[in-house]
Order: sequence, then structure tokens, then C-alpha cells
Amino acid sequence: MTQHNIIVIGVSTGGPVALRRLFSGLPPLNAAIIIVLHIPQGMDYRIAKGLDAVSSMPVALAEDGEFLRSGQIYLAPGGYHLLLAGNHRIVLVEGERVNFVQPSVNLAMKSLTRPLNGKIIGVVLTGMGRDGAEGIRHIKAMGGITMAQDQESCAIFGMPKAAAETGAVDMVLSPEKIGKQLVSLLH
Amino acid sequence: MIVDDNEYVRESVEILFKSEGGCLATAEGGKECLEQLEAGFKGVILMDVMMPHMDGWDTIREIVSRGLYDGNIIIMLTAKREPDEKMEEIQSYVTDYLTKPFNPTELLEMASYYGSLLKETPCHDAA
Amino acid sequence: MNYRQAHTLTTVTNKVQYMKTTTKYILASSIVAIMIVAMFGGYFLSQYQDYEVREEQEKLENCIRTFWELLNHKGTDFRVVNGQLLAGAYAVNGNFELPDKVQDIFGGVATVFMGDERVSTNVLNAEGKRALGTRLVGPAYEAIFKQGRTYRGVVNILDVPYLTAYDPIKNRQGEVIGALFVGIKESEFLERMHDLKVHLMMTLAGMATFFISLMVVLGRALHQVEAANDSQIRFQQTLLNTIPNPVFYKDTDCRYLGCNKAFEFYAGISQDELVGKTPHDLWPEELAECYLQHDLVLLEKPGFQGYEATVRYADGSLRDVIFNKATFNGSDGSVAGLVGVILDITERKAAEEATKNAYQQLWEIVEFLPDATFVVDKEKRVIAWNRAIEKMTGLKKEDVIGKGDYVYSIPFYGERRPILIDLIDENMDLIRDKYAFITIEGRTLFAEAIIPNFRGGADCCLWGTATPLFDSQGNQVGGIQSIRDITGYKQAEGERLLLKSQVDQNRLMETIMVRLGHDLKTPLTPLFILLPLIRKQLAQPDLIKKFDICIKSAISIKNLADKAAVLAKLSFRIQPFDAEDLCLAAVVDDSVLTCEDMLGLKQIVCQNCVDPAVIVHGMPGQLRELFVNLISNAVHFSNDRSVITISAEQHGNALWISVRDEGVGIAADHLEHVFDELFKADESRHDLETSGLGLSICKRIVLNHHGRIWAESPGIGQGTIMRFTLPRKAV
Repeated sequence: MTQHNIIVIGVSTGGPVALRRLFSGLPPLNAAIIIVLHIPQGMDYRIAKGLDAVSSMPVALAEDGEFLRSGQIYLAPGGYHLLLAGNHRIVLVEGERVNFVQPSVNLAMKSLTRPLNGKIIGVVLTGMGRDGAEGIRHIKAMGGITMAQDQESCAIFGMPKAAAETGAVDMVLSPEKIGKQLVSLLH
Repeated sequence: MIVDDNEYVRESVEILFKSEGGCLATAEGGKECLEQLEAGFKGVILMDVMMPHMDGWDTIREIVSRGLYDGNIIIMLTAKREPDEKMEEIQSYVTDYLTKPFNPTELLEMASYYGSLLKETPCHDAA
Repeated sequence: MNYRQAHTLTTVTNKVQYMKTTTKYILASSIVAIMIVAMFGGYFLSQYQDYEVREEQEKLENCIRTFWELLNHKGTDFRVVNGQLLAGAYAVNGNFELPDKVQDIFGGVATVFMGDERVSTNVLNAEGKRALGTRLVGPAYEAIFKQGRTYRGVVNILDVPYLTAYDPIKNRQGEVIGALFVGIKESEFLERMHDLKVHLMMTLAGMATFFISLMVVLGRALHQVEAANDSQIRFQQTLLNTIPNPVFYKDTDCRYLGCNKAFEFYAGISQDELVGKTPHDLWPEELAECYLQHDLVLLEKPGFQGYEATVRYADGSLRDVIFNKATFNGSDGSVAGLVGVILDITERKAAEEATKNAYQQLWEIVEFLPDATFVVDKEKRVIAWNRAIEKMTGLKKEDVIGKGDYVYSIPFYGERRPILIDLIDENMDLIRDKYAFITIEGRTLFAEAIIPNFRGGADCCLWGTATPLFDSQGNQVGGIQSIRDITGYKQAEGERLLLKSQVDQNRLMETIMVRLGHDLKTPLTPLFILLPLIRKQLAQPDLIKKFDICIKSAISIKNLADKAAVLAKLSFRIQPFDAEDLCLAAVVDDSVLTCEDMLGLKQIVCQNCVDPAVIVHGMPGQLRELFVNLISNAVHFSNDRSVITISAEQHGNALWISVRDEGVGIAADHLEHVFDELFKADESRHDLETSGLGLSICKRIVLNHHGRIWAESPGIGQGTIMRFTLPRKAV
């Protein structure tokens, strides 16, 4: 089966605005895009709809057992951990919060395995805490590409900083530039 | 709604919103904020972190524990660039974060965007 | 027998003779005493006996007189009629009235004889009956009846001795016809006499026993003295032999009389060989003569003599010795010879030599002590003045050594006065005021003094320590003082304190900056909201212009607050050195990307010339901040369409990184200050777009990486190079 390009974006506080900046005016990409946003239940769909309104790609809440499709944006719903089985199927699991959050960026990113072909890109955007740092390290170790949002554009330079401090981040950029990079990487 | 102990901040934000034809509720502390939520307020809450008696984080905890969160979006206002790490446990309920002194345009954009999100209804066939 | 023994023996013999004489005297006087006591005893006894006898005789005479009275009272005409003795008409025979009356009065017995036959008596026979009809016999009978006279004497009457008195009874014709008799039992009287004699004898016997015992004891003592004499001679010789020093004695002709074992060892000959020899017989000529001369001097002037000499022992060793000689007298009191003791002082001399050497070494140590040091003796005279103090004071040893009267204070105080070393045993209060600091620890004084215009130069701060010196017996023999010039140290100390206060001040400033950074932001918020709102409503261009200045000021306050907070955070917080190995080129790329907008605005090109192979050890977040700040700074001072170059080169172990621009450059005298907080290159202009803290942040980050940062500029208008170093590997 054909291997997709996969983009996993981890984000928290300030996320809705950062995501809007990232996806506004971004052309459809040849990749399945998974957004793991720290968000309570009841809020997730609002974000999805808001993002859907500005993005050229369709945005929806991820559903358990769903297969990934290119050019689709999946938002992890609140109250579940999102995992990717075999790099192509969404698994939503209930369970304990990890570092106070659910969904957890680290769990989602670390569920990825080394792809046979296709690119894996990990992005950490604005947010409190350190979630995503381990995931970025994992993606980098698998040979993926990693990016983090820069301090200037961040509402909170917590998660990107933690990710950058692992030394496993290839680029530290503003959301708009991350968008441009994605375009050029997946061209 | 703006929750801030500084009178001038409250008033200036209120003037800003009114100048754009919006409306704004004000609360000078966590206690007043909770009272208004109990009274049925729904919307974007601009929450100052450093407040006497009950700070922003404690107010959020109280909002969540009282089941008043749904239908609101909380944006933290702070003078510090980085929040205390011990507040990570409620980070999911903090949708965004603005550092004082914020750009009024940015504030307005953020408020209107989040305000628009709150108008969305649950829909499962978006995909 | 040697002289000593002889002499001793004489003494002892004298003693024995003396003791014998004494014993004789005691013996003789005891005998005399015994004799005298015996004589007196005998005399006393006989006197007493005479007295007693007289008493008894008197009593006897009274007794017989009374008998006569009683009888005469019956009748004075005595005759024998019909075998009956009559006195007048009174018949005596068988009539016991008179004898019993006599017995009642005097005790004893009484009898009337008719012829020689007892006719009236109270003398009892063996059966206890009156012994009538018995007859008078013995000397009394002879006296009465043959010689017709009275009889007095001791007579045994019926085997009992009586002191008796017999008187003849005569008739008118004067013929003895009978006798009167009285007797007192002699036994009581004799018993008393006997007792006295026994007592006397016992006293004499006791005395005799005492004297005999005394003589026995004395005799034995005499024997013991003789025995002791023998052991005393042995003891004395042993004593001599036990003395480790050679001992000898000579007679008045300087001939050896004897010696001890040590002398035998010293001389290498035995005592027997020695006796009778002269020094000339034994010793080399020169030595012998020396001995002889000394001996003669001593004998001429008896008493004590001592002199040192170097002698060769029989074992060949050469020794330093002291001869101690003294004369001794014979029993007649005249000089009999001399005794000599040889003290081997070789070791002592060696020890003295060693001490002398040790002192020499000590002086040398003192001489080369790096601290200015001098030593004084008990009289405060200088006995050591080392090189360091010569150098410090300019005063030479020869001008000081041996001098007292506070000579050592002159170079310091320009006058003779007590200094620290004089305080060791004097009243501290005297000159306490002259010291900036003074304390005492045990017997050592420490003080700090400021000497104005020391040796005509600048004020000088001296640190002194003084301590007393003691000999091995613990007597204070002097003192030592060291002086150190601590002027330089004091200055450094002052600078250190200044630095510390600066650091403290910086801390305070940082704290204020953090507070200010945070606290400014809240009041700025209404400004940021309201100023743009107001501006929209303004129509007059000049008002708008003024208002823009207000807005820019508000922005600059915000920037200032932001940067201050960053700087304070970087320097104030204790930063864990969370470093890792980083690709420098990638960090620069990130930073350039961040600054893209800024660069684009002025169409400035930023070239990253860093070799991608260069790995640095650092904190990625801080390094990014560092580059962004340096690039921002370069952009700020660069002209449009210029070039900024970032490169790295190896310099020894460190990596030199430079950010070069083609901008306005920096004046040489500003190069050092550009990293100071709030420094702005153009001081006259209020540069609202820079905070003046950017480079301070850079400096702080580089310092956090244990590197250094500096600015280079060929001059105004010729661009600037900001250089810093980074460690290449883990520190």
C-alpha cells in the first residue's frame, strides 16, 4: 500500500491562532496532517470548524479507526489520546492524562514508525509545558524533519523551546514560514 | 469579559471593544468573574494572571471544577513572557495567551476569532 | 693496704678503743654504784636494826620494871617458905595474877622463878599449858644464879626465840632465891628485819643485772662496729668503682695511693700497678708536668682546684676533661694528700658545638626569611637583622646589631619608641592607639600599622607579628618580630570589596529591572489600547505628529521593559549549564530566518559562512537569542543593501565567531562600552527603536557559555565586527 507523507503538529496554548496563521493561504499539501491540540472536550469541534474556514484543506475531528488520507487535516478530539497504527490508521484511546494533557503530542508522535517511503514531518507550535519534545526527538531519530515555532511569534514559547532544546529540531520559524517550508518540502 | 484588577486596563479594553461596536463585561477579580459565569455569561474571557486574593489560575480551576467552562474560551493576560510551570495541569483550558501590553489590533482579532468559534455548533459530518 | 683503707681502719680502731674505754668506765662505775648501794643499804639496815633493838629493849625494861612494881606491891620481903616463894605474905607459886597482868599490858610472856623453877608463868608448853615446874637453863641461868646479876638477851624459850630480860630475886640476906622474867617474842621484829634485807638484796641484784646486761650489750655493739668497719671499706671501694668518672688519690709526694675502676680504664693500668707511682711514671712528660704543677699548687694552698685538659685515654680516644682536685686531711688535721676526679666533657663540648652550629643555621634561616625579621635579646638589643628588613628599612646590619634603646623603631617611626616586640611583656595600652589593628594569640602579637610617608614615600600598611623567645628551661631570652608590607594586599582587598559591592549593586539593579519590566507592562496596556484609538480621532497634522511621538515612546518603554526582563532573566537566575553539542551553521540559519523580515526591510543580505562541520557546545535557545540580537544590532547600524557576514574560525582551543557588518562602525573609545547596560552609541539622540540592552544580553549569553565577547571597528563609517568565543567541546 502506498505510504503517505505525514505531518504531525503538536500545539497548545495560543494554538488556534497559530494554526490559523499556519494554514491561512496554504495550498493543499500532499500529506495527511494530524493536529494534536491540548484542548478540552466541547472545544475541539469549534477549533476544527474555525480552522476549516481558513484552510484550503478540509479539517475534521479525527475518528477512531479512520484511515489517513492525503490532503486532509485531522484534529485530535479532546479527552482521548490519538495514536497512529502502522502510520496510517487513527486509534483513539481513553486513559490517563500524560503530563496533565489529553491528547498528548508525545504519544501521537511516538506511535509513528520508520516509514518505508514518504516523509514524516514533526512540528511543535506555541504552548505551555514540554509536551512534544520527546516526540520530536523520536521523529528526528527516525529520519524525519522537525520544526518548531520561534519565540517571537509564540503566545508561549514553552513547548517549542523544550523541543528546540533537545537539539533535534531542524528549523525554528514563525507559523507562516513553517507553512512555506512545508510547501517546499512536499512539493 | 475582561477580568483584571487594574481599573484602567479594564476601562481601556472596554473602550476598545465599544469603539469596534462590541460589548464587554468587566470583573475586577476571580470572584466577580465566577459570579457572572454563574449568572449565565458565555463568551471569550480575558483573564489577568496576577490578581490579588484569587489569581487567574485559581479562577480557571474554580470555573472548571464548577462546570462553568463549556461555551467559553479563556485567554490569559500576563506581564510575564512565560507562565509558571506548575500551571501546566490546567493548560488545556487556556486557549490562548496574551502578553501585556498587547497590541489592540491583535486583541480584537483574537477576540473576534474566538468569538466566532464559540458560535459554531457541534457537527460530526465535517469530514 | 692503701691509704684510704688504712685511714679508715685507724678511725675504726679508735672507735673500738673508745668504745672499750667507755665500757670499762661504765663497768667500774656500776660496781662502785653497787657497792655504795650495798654499803648504804647495810648501814641503813643496821641503823634501823639498832633503833628497833633499842625500842624493843626499852619495851622489855618497861615490861620487867612493871613486873617488879606489881610484885613489890604484893610485898618486898621475898623468901622461900615450905617450898613456896612468898613476897611478903603473897604466895607466888601457882598464882598467875602477876604474869598475866604483865602479859595484858605488854604482850609477850612473864615468869616468876623460885630458884631455877618456873612457879608462876604464862609461857605455854607444847601442849598449850603453862610450863610450870620447868627450869631455867643456859646463859641466863649462869648470869642469875652463878654471878647474881641481870641477864638480857635472846633466848629460845620452848624453841621460840624471845628477847628476854631476867632479874634475880634476892632475900633480905641478898641471896638469890629466884628470878623474874619477861620476854617478847623475837619473831615479829626479825621478820621486819628480814623483809628489809630481802628488799635490799633484790635492789642490789636488780642493779647488778642491769649493769651486767649493759656490759653485754656494749660488748656486742663493739663487736658489730668492728664488723661494720670491714664492710664500710668494701662499700667505699665499690662506691668509688661505681662512679663513672675516673677518681684517684695521691699522697703529699704526689704518689698515687689508689683509684677506682674508671681510672683504671682511663689509665689502662690496675690499681695495684698504680699505687706508689708518680705522674711522671705514667704520663707523657708534658702532661705529667702539668699535673704535677697543679698538684703542687694545690698542696701548697690546700682546698679545691679545677682545670680543663685534653687527655688521651688508654683506648686511644682523645677526650676533653675537667680535673677537679681537693686536699684531704689526716687524723692529725694536716694535709695528707689529694683526691682527684676527672670529668669527661667531650659530649658536652660536642653538644655545645652542635648548639653553636644550630644557632648558626638558625641565624641563616632568619637571614633569608622573605619577611623582614629581627631578633632581640632579653635587654632588647638587636641580635639579628635579616636581609629583608635591611631592604625594607634601608638600615644595615652593622648599624643595628648589638644596639638597644629601641634602635629598631627608628626606620619605621623616625624616633626611638616601643614597637610591637616591646609589647610582648609590657602594657598594651601604652601604644595600642598607634595600631590600626592589634590582637594577641597565646604569646604572639599581631598588629597592623599604617606608617605615613614610609621612608619618605607613600603611606604604607605594615603587618607585624611579634613573639617572645624562650630557652629550653622556659626562660624568656628575647623576642622575634616579622614585618610584612601589606599595602598592595590592602589595595587589592579594597578593590575586591569594591568589586563585591558592584556585584551586589548589579544584583540589586537586576532585581529592579525584573520588577520594572513586569510592573511597567500593566500600566502600558491602557496606553497601547487607547493611544491608537485616540490617534484615529485626531485630524490636525501637528497634533498627530506629537501624538506619534507619544506612541513611539510607549513602544520604546515596552521594548526596554522586555529586554530588561530578558537580560535580568539571563543573568539573575542561576542558569543550569544545559549545554549540548550543536551544529553552529544550523543555529545561524535559524537565527537568520528569524530575522528575515528585518533584513528584508533594508534589503540587507546576511551570509552564513560557518562551516556546517563546526560543532559547538552550548545552549541552543540562548545561542539563537545571541545571533538574533547580533544580527538585529548589525541591521540597525547598517545601510540599506549592505551585507552582514557571519563566520567562525579556530583560534587555539576556542572558536572565534564574528558577525561583521558594513555599517556606521564604532568610535575606538566606545568599543569597550558597547556591551554595558543601556549604552547607546549615539548618546545625543534618543534612539527609540533600540533598548540599549541588546548587546548586554549578548554579553551575558556569551558569559553564560564561559566565553568572551568584544567589538572591533576600523573606525567610524567602516563597519563593525562583533566577535565572541565559544567552547568547542563539553566543558
